[in-house]
Amino acid sequence: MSRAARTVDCDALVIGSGAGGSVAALGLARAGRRTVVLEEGPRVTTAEIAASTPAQNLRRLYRHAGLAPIHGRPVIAFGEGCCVGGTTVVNGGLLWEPPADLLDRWADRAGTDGYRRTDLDRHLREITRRLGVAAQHPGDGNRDSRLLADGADRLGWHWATARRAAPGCSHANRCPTGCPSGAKQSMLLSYLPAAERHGARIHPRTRVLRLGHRGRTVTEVHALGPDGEPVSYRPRTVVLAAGPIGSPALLQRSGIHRRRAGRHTAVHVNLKVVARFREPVRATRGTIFTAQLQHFQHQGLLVMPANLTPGALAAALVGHHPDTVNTLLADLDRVALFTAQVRVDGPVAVTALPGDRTLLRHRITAADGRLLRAALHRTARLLLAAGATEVHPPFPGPPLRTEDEARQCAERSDLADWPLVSVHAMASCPMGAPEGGGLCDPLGRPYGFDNLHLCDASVLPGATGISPQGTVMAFAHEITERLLYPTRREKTG
Amino acid sequence: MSVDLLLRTWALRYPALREPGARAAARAHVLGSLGRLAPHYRAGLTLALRLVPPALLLLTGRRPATAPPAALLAGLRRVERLPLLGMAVRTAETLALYSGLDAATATGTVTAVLVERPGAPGAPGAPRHRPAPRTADRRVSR
Repeated sequence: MSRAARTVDCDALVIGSGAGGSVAALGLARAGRRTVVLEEGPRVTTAEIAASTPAQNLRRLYRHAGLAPIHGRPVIAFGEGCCVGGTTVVNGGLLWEPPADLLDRWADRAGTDGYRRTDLDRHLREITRRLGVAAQHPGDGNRDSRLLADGADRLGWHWATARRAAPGCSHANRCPTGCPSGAKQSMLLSYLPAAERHGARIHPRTRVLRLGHRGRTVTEVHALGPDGEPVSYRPRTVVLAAGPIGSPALLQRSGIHRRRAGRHTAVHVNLKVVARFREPVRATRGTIFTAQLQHFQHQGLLVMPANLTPGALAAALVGHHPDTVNTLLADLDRVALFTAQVRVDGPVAVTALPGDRTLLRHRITAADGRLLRAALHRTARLLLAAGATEVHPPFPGPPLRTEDEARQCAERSDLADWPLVSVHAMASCPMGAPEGGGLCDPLGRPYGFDNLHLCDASVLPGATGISPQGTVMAFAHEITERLLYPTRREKTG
Repeated sequence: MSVDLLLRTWALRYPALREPGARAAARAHVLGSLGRLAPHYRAGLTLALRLVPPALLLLTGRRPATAPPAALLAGLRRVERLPLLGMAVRTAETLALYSGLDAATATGTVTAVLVERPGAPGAPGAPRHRPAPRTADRRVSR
């Protein structure tokens, strides 16, 4: 016999506690709304993160232990946070501001006027202040970043110092599995505690099953609590911030824009490249990175170092000959790991299946393939210019020692063999005019709804090409402000 | 058990996985990650890993439990070339290497961090900003 659902009334219910939901939670609570934040994952303290191994944190902090597959050729592993604070707990703490020309393009194409740089600037200033965002300098370590900058200088390519929300970073080299020193200002340590000080309540380990709705209003949110007990939330306002995959999946399960939500999700894909240098690099001493190659940003390509550990190195080389892996492990001091991030055009389709399952499929295009090959070629070129004696591609094969070898390897390899990863998805429920493919209005409301607001990476009108946290948070600030203080025209939808 | 057989074979490939602590961490991460997967993927990956011993038997003609190291390694290479089974084995290998090789260094890292920041985040007197090093003025390329 099924248990009767416990009922919880509140003014505002925020579903998801990542970069978008946390901003909304703070704004709503600060405005005096009785706010409840639901998070599917656990609440984990900095002390607990520090006391656990990276692998334990990976299992605890990521959805599906970071192994959600995006089907297609090749299969792409998708990773996102599933804990209080969301992906901000397990990302690199990069806080790039959205470029003005990108926001202008979105405004002109999708109709997101009101989300141009001049509109978002004050939000970006508040984010910078709250999170202590600043240029991340290399300190005593991060020689991999300095080598990247040297290589770029030799080629005449543009690079920039990383902007991070990690004041006092202790360079613990564990960014993707949670910051053990608490320097990274994830939502867990910044916006959410501030929201709690204004009365917001956070319910961890609470999974939302469905939004119940009547006409233009969400009337009830059905969830399962930490022990699997049913809970029925009855809010006046619902902010859906379950992430670029979770939000469209929940809309589909709830019969809201079932055929359109999540069908054209944008992603960035990463490929890992290993380089071995003549001199010691000691890349294990440092943070995620302090310098990023941005010369090809307009084409959707960025290159940066990644956190190096023996495990991360070996995992990046799976499939290579064991002698190669063992040799590089034995020479770890002279090895560095780099990420090439590519903005692909081929969309990912999110499909909610029965039984709370979600299927992800990508349609990488031929143009994406060319860009991925160019990414590998340029990354190898950069690292050789930086002084690498050999560069190892992400798939099995001999090391690349010349630019020509790098070009031939990139051109001739089968993309189906490339082990690709994605940690950035967005634009699954884009804001914009419906005739241009938009699914929600400037208040984040899915068309046809008055009290439901999307407020996460899903509302971005397209791929940012950069780490999206800053853009997501700026949009979330603007959506929350409009939600709280709508104009007369916005009130009537 | 399939995971133990795979761990034994991977340890032949990677000396770093021969340490008992590394093996235990690798095993825990492979099984723990399986437990965190969505049910349909967990079922699929578990089934694929269970098929490894019979696949090895079929491909090498030797019982994996008693096969010599060279036969195990050669058999695993052939298994890895099979379409779905190969992907499952490589996924498990990635998990095993990631956890097993970092198990030895993790404790040291954590200790170093806690020693460096004894006051924990936000504690009175804890340094919030490091002074910028001399390289700080080199912000972007020209």
